[in-house]
Amino acid sequence: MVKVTGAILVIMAMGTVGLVVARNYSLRPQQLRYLLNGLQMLETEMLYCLTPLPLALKRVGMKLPYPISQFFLNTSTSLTNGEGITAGEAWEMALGELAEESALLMEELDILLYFSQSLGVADREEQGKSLRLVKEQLMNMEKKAEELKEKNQKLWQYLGFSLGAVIALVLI
Amino acid sequence: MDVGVVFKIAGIGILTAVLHSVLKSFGKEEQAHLATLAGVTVVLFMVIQLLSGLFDYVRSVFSLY
Repeated sequence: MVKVTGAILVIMAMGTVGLVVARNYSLRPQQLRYLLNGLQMLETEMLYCLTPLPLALKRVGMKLPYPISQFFLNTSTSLTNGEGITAGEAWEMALGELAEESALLMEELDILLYFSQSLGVADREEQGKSLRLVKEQLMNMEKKAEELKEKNQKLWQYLGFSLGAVIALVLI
Repeated sequence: MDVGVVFKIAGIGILTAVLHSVLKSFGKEEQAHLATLAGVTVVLFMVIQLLSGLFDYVRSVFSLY
């Protein structure tokens, strides 16, 4: 009786692990799309409405869902608190939290880190150019992430439960 | 006649076959072959234990060595 319960627990645990991995694969392209939306809105706010950076970041952050919203709002609050840090540093600090909370990988975070060096430093033209560059690169990543998701999501859902069954059978 | 072991081996065999086809249908040929090899190894260990029991039994029955 206890053996059966143990086996069921092992199968459920491995199945859950498989489902979590599958979910990460499916969350990544979605979060990349939201990030791209956010950067597009930021470009509009900065280049055409000429809003100052903290306010622009806050407005963009309020329109997006979690966790991308948290990223923009954190950058905005770090800047408005006026502790004397540059926009690039505020961006990097918020990036650290985004790394933990989101399903994004090192490659996308590196792209965003690279962007932090030009944030709030250059004039309108340069800012627009670097924003467009970041968006290009993120769009490429999003396409690749979408392909990976197609291939891997279902695979990991099945794999989790199958591995759980194998382990349960070996141990019973 | 320990029926449990037979069912265990059969279950592992079926699951290995399922794992092989799942991995193959997702295009991961090498991982499929690795999974099959792993299943075969696990079953081999179980069978070797049973064989060792068999040899001890034969030895004790004939009192040969």
